[in-house]
Amino acid sequence: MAQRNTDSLGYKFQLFMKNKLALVGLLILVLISILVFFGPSLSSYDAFSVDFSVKLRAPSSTHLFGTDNYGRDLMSRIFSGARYTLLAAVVSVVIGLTFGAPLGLISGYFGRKVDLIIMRIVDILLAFPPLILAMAIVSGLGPSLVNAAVAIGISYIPIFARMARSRAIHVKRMDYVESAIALGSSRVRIILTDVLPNSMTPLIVQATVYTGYGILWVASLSFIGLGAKLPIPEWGLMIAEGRKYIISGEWWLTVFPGLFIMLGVTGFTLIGDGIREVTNPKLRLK
Amino acid sequence: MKEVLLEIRNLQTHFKTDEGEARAVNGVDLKVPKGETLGLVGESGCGKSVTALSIMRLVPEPPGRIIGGEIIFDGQDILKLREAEMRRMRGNTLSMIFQEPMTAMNPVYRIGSQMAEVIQLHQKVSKKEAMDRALDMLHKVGIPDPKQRLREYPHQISGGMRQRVLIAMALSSHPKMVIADEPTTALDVTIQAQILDLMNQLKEEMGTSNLLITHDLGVIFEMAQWVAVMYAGKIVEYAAVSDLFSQPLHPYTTGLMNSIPQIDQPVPKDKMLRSIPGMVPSLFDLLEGCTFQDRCNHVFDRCRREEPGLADLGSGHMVRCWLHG
Repeated sequence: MAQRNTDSLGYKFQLFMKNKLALVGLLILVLISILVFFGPSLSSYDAFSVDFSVKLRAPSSTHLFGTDNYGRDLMSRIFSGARYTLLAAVVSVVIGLTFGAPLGLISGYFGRKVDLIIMRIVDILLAFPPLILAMAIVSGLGPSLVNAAVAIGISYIPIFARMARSRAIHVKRMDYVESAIALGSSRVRIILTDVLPNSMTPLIVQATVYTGYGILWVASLSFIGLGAKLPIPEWGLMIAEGRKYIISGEWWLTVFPGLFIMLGVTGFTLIGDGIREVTNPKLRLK
Repeated sequence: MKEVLLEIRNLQTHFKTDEGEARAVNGVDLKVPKGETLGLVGESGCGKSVTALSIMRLVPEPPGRIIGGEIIFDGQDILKLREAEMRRMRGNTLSMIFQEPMTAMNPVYRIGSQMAEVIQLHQKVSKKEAMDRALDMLHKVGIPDPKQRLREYPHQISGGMRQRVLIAMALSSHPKMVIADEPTTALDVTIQAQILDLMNQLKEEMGTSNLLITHDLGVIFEMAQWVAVMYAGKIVEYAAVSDLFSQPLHPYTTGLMNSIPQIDQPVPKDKMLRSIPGMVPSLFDLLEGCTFQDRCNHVFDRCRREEPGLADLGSGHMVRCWLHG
């Protein structure tokens, strides 16, 4: 048998595809991506057009997910809402990563006083439960979807900083770092060409998983009125709106948006785990 | 003796630990002549590697610190240079080869781009020229199919091959001096011989001076013109290789030589190699007098009272022992 190159991307992709759960995650992600890009055009109804003649209809062949209290088609609203929730989640991770990772790398690489100062600040931020911290920040900035994304992003900074720091501490002890210094690399160069690239894998895994959590948190903030504002069909906000009708029996108003939130979180978590497994041979042995 | 490229005077590098101050390098003096190889031998923990790191100014600080002494390289005291000046020197005029070729290359870049990066650090050339030079260097260190290797990642080549690449990298800016810290310890014997041959050949070709750190006297005999024997942070004997092997003077040196198994001589009657009795003294509270007193067969009163200096016995043969002082 021909020798396989176990480090090639192709082989890693094969491994990833062998992992059933990761595959499910990938499928979910593809589905959600389609919603993000083509959501509004996938359904024959407009997500914003009000029609009181069909208000609060149960799921049927004309309205698969039913309609809400304004007679808007729920499926169209969920499809159109995907982009708000998802983008907010992605933006928050991007913010967390772009500020958290460099802070952590600097902290871990330089150590000592720099590390002490950065990590104490990070510790203070970590002392708050992330959602509480995000709520506090949004209250300060004023409620809106953008501010919710920023607030979640800020609460992600210490999480990514911690992860990057632990990687930096690990990588800076590697022989190739010492060898690079001995061949004349500056510290900035070491961080950029040695420490950062060799810290990427866990950061990517973490970013994927936290995109999933981001969906949940964006929805949570919107649910309590600190995120998206009406009439944006953000999933969390839709649940908040539908809440009033649970007792009267209009379950579809909350169940379907909730299902999609769950789907999104599950998808990203599964993919994150899949990448972790592919990039860490030890996890593959079982 | 030829012109001296590197001269170390009374170098002291200490490490702060919980148990106190470890005097890893405690007054080292040595000279490396231009275009020649100095072998630095000694057992594990005697301060060889710390000496090398001190020359590169790579001693991890803290806990380490260069307390005193001078390292004159190419006419200037390295210890007085600013960090930026030192950085320009590393990999450029003063280069280093490490012990572990398996881990000394960044796993995420191709060999070509790693080599080109080092070249561009020190020479104002385009990426393409740097690549050409990298190719040239790979050719020089005898790597088959160098064009293909440039495109490969470190894990795709063997340990011996990697050490060749690292040597190519270290020599890519034509340094005046290369420090090799046990460059062949991690390789098997046949590859060792190849790498040593290569280093010798490159030294002749490019006129670099080498500081070769090893605990293998055989390697010193093959490679070096001069040899310094180190014990407990000090140089105890310094001589031309031929002098040292024909006439070892310090009891520690003779002890080292006696403990080498000889393939062409009968095994001693008791079937044991003659090892040096005792243990390396603690680096924390060094004894008064000679550091080797407790393990020495010739110890006498004076050794316990006073520390011998490095006495020059002519023709560059120096020894730190009262028997010869």
